[in-house]
Amino acid sequence: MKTATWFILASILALVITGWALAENERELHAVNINYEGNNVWTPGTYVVYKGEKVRFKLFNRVKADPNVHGFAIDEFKVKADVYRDKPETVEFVAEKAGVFRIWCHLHPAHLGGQLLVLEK
Amino acid sequence: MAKVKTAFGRSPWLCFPAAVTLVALAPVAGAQTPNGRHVYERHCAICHGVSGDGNGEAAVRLVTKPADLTAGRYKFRSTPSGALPTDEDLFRTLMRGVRGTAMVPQTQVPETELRAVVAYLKTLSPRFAEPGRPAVPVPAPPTSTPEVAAKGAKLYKESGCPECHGDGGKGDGPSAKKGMKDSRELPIVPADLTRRPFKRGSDPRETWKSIGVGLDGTPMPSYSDALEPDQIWAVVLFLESLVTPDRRHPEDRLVPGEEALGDQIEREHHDKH
Repeated sequence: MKTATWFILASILALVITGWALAENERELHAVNINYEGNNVWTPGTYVVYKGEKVRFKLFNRVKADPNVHGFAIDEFKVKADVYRDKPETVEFVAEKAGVFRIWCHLHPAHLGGQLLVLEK
Repeated sequence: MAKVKTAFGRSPWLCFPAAVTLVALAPVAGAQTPNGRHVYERHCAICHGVSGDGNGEAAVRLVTKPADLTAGRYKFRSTPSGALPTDEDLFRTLMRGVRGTAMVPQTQVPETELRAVVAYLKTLSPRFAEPGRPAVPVPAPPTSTPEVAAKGAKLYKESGCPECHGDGGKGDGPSAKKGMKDSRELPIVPADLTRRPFKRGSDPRETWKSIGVGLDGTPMPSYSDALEPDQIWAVVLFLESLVTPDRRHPEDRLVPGEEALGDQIEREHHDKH
């Protein structure tokens, strides 16, 4: 009986620790598209995550001027979202490799994007 | 009654027919300058609505909805993105129509009346109180050669055009397949670049403008910050090379789409009034 109780308690503890570790391995970031001095930019310009993390980008297009849609793309992680004015989008991916990766507007490359920096843990 | 002499030495009663004639002719004299609002309500309100918001009686019958003229955002301009159209831009759209849509060319309306409508359109949106900007000059096109078209093909790809217009320009890019929306959140489809006329016609200089200054109110941006004027011409000439003769529809006839419906609505409306 005592063994069974300890086994159950240990299992619960193991599950809790595992669950906490998963949550620690996720990262939520916000990116906002604005018009700054005549340029459409994603801001902030640089995002930093750790390799292996599950990354969730929440994307907001706040540009009042036309066009009404901007792109958010990170080629290496197959991220490509069309973000309409005031219609937030969410993209998720696993940052499975380290390095510096370009974030850009696939609809209009002249729009200023940014960089994703994936650090080795 | 004492005889009164006028300056002409005749009875003043002789002036009476002249006065009546002048009074009768006054409205005709006034009609030399048409009332833009009356012309608009007679010809345009059926689709664009009395207020100009695009919700006219016939709007429900149309897939491509009538423009909201109260927004002050115009697709077919020669001015930079975000700027108001010039009077000539507005007049041109009225005269030539928006091809393939129910906005058929308004060639049956006298020019003086169209000009009056242009003036009236500018009262429908408060944006017209802002100062306008001058038209962007369209440079002379280069000679069309395979090299220029090849350069244009490369720029087409590098500029992100295939995302909406597709690799072959048929309007079937990945973003198009997701379903795109304009600024009014109405469905909008990227143009099929392999056929003519475009909504603003077949003139390559108009295509230059679409790329150079963008189509406000739609996902089509201006590329003048990304491409030099001669680079835009290279893309235009590449797009011209995509059009086979069977994909060029004559512009002196109703263009496939909703022009037949627009023509019908006009006739129905005319018959009622």
